[in-house]
Amino acid sequence: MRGAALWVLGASAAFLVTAAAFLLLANLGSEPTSDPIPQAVPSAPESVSPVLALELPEYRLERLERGPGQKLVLNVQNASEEELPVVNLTLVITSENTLRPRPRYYWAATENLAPGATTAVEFEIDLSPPPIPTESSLDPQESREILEIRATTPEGDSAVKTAVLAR
Amino acid sequence: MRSRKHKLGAYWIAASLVLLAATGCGLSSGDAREEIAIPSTQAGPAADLGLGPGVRPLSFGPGVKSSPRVSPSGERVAFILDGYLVEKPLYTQDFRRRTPPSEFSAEVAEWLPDESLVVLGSEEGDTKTPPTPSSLFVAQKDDSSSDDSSTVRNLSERAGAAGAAPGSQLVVTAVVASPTEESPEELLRSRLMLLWDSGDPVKIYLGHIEGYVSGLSVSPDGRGAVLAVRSDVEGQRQEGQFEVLSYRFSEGQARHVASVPNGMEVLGAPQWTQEGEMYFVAGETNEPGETAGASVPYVLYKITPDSETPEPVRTVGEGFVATSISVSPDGNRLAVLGRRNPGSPTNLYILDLTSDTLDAATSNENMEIKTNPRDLAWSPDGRSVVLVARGAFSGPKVYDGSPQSLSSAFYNLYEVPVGSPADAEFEG
Repeated sequence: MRGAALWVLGASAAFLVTAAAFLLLANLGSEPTSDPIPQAVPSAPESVSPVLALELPEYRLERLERGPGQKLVLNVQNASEEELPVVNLTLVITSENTLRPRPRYYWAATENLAPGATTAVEFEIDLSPPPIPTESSLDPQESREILEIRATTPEGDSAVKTAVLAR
Repeated sequence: MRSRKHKLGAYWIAASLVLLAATGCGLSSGDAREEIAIPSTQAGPAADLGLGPGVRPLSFGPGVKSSPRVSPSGERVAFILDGYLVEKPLYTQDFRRRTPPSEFSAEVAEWLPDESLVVLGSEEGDTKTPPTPSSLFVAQKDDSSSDDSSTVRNLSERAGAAGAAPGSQLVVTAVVASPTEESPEELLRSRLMLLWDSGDPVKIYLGHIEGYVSGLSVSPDGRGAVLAVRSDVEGQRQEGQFEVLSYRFSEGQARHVASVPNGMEVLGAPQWTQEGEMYFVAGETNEPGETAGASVPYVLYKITPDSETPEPVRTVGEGFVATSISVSPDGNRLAVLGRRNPGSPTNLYILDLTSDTLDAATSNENMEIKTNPRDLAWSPDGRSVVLVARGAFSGPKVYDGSPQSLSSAFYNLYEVPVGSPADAEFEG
């Protein structure tokens, strides 16, 4: 009788200890699942990509003038270890004034970008100043031009840069 | 037998303790993670955005922002975005337009108790003829609307300045009473108008104020206002001369507080403190031919209740260049935007009026802080000040990420923690 009681107690204790160990492991294992609650504000840079990298040195932007036919060269790099058959590049130019954004869209693509290779892509863009509004108190001089450059692959990899031009 | 029972008991207790410790630790660590997982309201817990630690952006993306105002509940912030009025929850980016963007050019807004907004602005096509720069509108709260629209009602033409009482119990505006189209020869006069909410009739004080009210703010007790008034040609005062007036609503007429020397202008609205002192920023006006907005050494002045002579505030230090001020909701602190000397960067300072001490609330390294007197606002609890700033750079700049994710690339709103009166008392 006593032996049976001892056996039951021993088994219970072993069960409890094992359960506790499993609970502890489960708790540790579940740690990342409580993190993805969305952030209230955007904070993480979107251009962090192990596959694509965009390069747009500021000195190239300094050469641009306010007018049509401006040439802008940017570099796109395949930072992966596999060839990228297609990389799509979009360039959207908008005014800083959200009331009169005057969007201008440009598109280009590169093909068969080898692993580690960098290629230059040229855009001919229109940086003409906006017509001065006659019936608005908004100062047109306040508005700068914003260049949003986005490289994407059909597989969903992307890299984003934003350039803000001085007035 | 007893000892064996004791041994068994000890094993049992030990096993239970192991279990409790294991599960207990698990629960407590789970709780801790739960707290961490509450959505963060700042871009990185200790992100230094160029204005010093603890400063957090409240808005992101392109567009020139100005005139921030925190709602009476402290949960929302309204501001002007490229000429139209928007509001949003304090810490998220769910923008909501409150005035039509294409027909209306808003300049400044103040919250009413019912969370409607009084807006100074002009309809597209208005011909602005100084000194009647604006019309007064009410953007009513409209929860039923699912889009960005909001009911906007024209309340008055020819409004000059507006100010809200702490906690937004009421909004006071100054409107130009004369001259009118019918009697253009009349001298320039203004009168005050009080608004409680968007539905109630307004109260208009008929007692005229000689001149144009260029700035006004409501006293901390909500019973009066202090005004900066620019004279027309009248009596002893010369055209363009400024004076400071107080206006007790129970008395219904303005009282002269102090004259500002000839050739000097008052920048923004004077501020009335809990102790009955008045503060204002003034400096020499630009001479004709000088570049508008050229660096003018504006000085912070104080008028005590027993004096009519404004005196420079010594606490800020010699050489301090003030640009805008705003008194805290409890009337005991003054937020001051300015520079320690003409060569130093603009920072936000808090002047504690009870201890007569000045503390820097920001440590500006590379930001351009907007210095328009309208671009400074206290939170209702007095724990933070909202200002507008962007990164200072002369040439083009490249950032990682999309425009909508960027704060310092464009003029955006920043919340600067300034503690509370209780904190200041404790530290003192």
